Amino acid sequence: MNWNFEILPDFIFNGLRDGAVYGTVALALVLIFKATTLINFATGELAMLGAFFVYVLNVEQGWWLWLSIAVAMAISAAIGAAAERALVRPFDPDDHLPVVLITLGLFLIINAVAGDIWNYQVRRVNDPFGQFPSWVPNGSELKTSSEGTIACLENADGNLVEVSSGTADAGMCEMVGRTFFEVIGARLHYRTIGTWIALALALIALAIILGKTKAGLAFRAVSSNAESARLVGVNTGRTLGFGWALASVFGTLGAALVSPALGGVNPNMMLTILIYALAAAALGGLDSLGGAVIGGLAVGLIKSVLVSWFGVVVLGQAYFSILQLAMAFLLILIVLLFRPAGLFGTRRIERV
Amino acid sequence: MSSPLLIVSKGSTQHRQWRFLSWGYAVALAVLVPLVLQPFEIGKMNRALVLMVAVLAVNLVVGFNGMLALGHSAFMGIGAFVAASMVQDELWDYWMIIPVVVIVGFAVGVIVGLPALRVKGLYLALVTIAQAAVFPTLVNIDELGIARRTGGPNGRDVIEEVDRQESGFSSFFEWLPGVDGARGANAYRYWILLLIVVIVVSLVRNIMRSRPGRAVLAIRDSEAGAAVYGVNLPLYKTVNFALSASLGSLAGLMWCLDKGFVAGQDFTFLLAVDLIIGLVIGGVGTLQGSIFGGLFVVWARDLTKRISIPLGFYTLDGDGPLSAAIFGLILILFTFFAPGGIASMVTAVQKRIIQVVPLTPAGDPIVPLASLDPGPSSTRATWALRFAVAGPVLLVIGWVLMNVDNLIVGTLAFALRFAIVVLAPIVMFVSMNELRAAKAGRRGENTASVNSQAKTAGVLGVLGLAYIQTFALNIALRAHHVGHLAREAVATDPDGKTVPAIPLVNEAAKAKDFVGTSGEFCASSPSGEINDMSVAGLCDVASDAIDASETAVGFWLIGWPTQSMLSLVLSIIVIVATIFVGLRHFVFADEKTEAAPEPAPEEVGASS
Repeated sequence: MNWNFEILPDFIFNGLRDGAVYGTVALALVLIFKATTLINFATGELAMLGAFFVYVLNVEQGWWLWLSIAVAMAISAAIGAAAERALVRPFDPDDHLPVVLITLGLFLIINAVAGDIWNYQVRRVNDPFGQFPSWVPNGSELKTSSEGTIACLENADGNLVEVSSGTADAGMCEMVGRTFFEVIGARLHYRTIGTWIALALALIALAIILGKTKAGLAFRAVSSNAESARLVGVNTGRTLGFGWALASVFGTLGAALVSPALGGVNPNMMLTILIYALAAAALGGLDSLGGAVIGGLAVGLIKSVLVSWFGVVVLGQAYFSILQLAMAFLLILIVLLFRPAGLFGTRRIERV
Repeated sequence: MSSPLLIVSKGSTQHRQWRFLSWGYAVALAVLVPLVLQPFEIGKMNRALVLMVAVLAVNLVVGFNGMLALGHSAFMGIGAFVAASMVQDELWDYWMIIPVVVIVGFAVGVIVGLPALRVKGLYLALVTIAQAAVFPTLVNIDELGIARRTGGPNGRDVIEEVDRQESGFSSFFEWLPGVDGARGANAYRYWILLLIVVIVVSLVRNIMRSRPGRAVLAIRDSEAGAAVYGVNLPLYKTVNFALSASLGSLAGLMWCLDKGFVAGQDFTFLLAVDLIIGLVIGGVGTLQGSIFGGLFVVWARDLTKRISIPLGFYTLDGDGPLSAAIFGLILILFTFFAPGGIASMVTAVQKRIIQVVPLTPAGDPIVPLASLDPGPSSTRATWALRFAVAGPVLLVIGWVLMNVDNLIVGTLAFALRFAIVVLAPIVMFVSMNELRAAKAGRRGENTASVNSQAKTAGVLGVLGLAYIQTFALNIALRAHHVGHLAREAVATDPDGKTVPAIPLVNEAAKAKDFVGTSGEFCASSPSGEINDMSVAGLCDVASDAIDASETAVGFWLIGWPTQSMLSLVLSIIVIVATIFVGLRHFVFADEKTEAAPEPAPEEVGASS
């Protein structure tokens, strides 16, 4: 037992950063589940497609990164709404099998099309939160950087290394910016803070959309009772399409935020993230938006602190790092066993 | 053709004949596989057999119980790794492992299914999809001996206990068709896997007809209704899911037996999706659906793989995104337009041809058969005639298209040539029925035309059947003769590279063409000569030819295994008998119908 508490904050920060991404993708899942009581297994692939749009616009076309992300979100929203209209709406939402099959088919097609266009190599992307903007005060010393499309990270010895090869190459990795604060002895990376801020802003936007706009009101009405909503004149179909569009926006945001940490985009990037997001959604409750975010953060924390820190560092068992995904699976089982509705989900009462 | 061509009461002679025919064709197809196909194609069929059991396992949950299970790749993986470890580390035999694998699968199924099945909704889909994603990572855990037993990321070879070369025990089974030729190892595995599939399918069929099976089906149709009738929902759902998991594990054992190699990356989420695709395209909730599904997944993937490279699509390990995209598209299209899958299409076609009228407890048809008869306006005889003409026409087209050197056209040509085999018996059934109906006076003023059409069709049907038999006999005899010569030549000419072995063996391979093999095996060198082939290879070809010929002769007519000389005599007798009995039925039938109320005014006979 090696209770190395000094590095614990690092793990907590990393966990919360990953968790924010899981929460974002889980939000996409929950938005669709609320609207149609359907788990969209193509969520991850739609998000991956969004990340590729960002890649194309930003890296290949040279657009401004945030503009690329915004445009990619808009395209994904259109694709999500179109998929809902063309493929999902014709089916009875209470009959799960056809809609799940449709999402599995979408999963395969999107993955394959992306694989055919961009093949399966990891493609570098620019990090929206690579380095602090110049106006941020009190940033730490310059430690790591990225230049052009080559991603650089700092290794344990404090040297700059190129991510893909893992070798130190001063020529390729120059120090051009500050990337983290020192907080209680741990590094709070700009990427982490940026992910949190992005998630927070997205949540505020979502709250405004759902709480203050007419479309949001319609969405809430449909998700609480589709039939009553239809009776009072809500256009249910269009509202569901709106839900899918919102979900695609969140998926794209999550994928765009996580792709720099993965080293880049590739068609299979969202496979494991989808599983963590499913665990997050199950933990928070499949129909609770706030639950999805909290669940995502919790899953990230559990993965980082319980598995990586406690398992690998404290217990000294290297194989725990393989168990990260298994932890998500176990978490789903435990939640279903003890609290099927999740932490914040509404309990369903079946009336016959 | 609004009403079916044949209407029979359940259990009647005609119904039994029809069933005999269908089963005969099914058995014939199963026997032909190891004889006709190339070794690697038999390997594909073996994979299809494995996937049939796996799809059936998924079907048990999705099709029969209405729950969504998307992660059976993990159960397959568990079965495969348990089998591999038991064979390699504990030196058990495959047959002894089957109960172990089934019990382990059942236990894992309970663990996974119990939490998810207590609650209603999509939770099982959620759990199983996570399970499918997690499983491939688990086999790499370098702790508790897991990686040692699973082989970790490198996978693990499994010694082929069932390979005929390695174990003397299996030479006992050399009498099975195809087992003593060049494709022996694959053919032998084919028979073992087929045996398992037959056992599993009949088991599931019987379970679904039992009381617990009915309960499972009731849950699918209405959970509330089933609960009201006293079905313990969580218990039945969980046990059904665990059964399905144990079947999935059995499929894993079959996988191990078929492939001789297990690795974590074989049992990913994509395999689970393949199973779902097979299920949906085969037909959800039907036993035949699982069989079609297994075949579809393997052969459709093979086809997309073959056309992927020429079309310039990106491929990875020979399995490119194209096949995934096509699979996804097919999945969506089937969900939209044919939710019943291939099974429902087959049923629809069958309904057009035959309708079986059930019996009352007293043993009479629930509806009098006469009331189902279309009466004087019946067009059945016309349809029989059309079918009877279509058979030979398609045959000729098939022969012509055979000359086109193209994979898809070749497959089509083969199917066209095959059409007459299916059409001829149908034609004979319908013609006989129509003659009978005309004799009973149910065709009214149309008796004459019905009689003439039915007779013409019947004669064509008989001739078609006789043609098939003669053709089979002819080729089989040629193959037999040349194969024997080749075997002798190889025996007397040890290096096997000089005359007369080579031309003879080439001949044998050509003669074998009938039974499907394209002679590729022999003509593998650019010049088309087999100058680079070892003596063993020659021997294999020769014995293959003999094997094929013996089985062809025996199979078509009398049933195998018979000695070739006996087969020959019996074959000729059967061909003569076919023609004689058939013609007596259709041409000379009038002599007996003279007593009928309205004898046909003109004797048309076989003039068409």
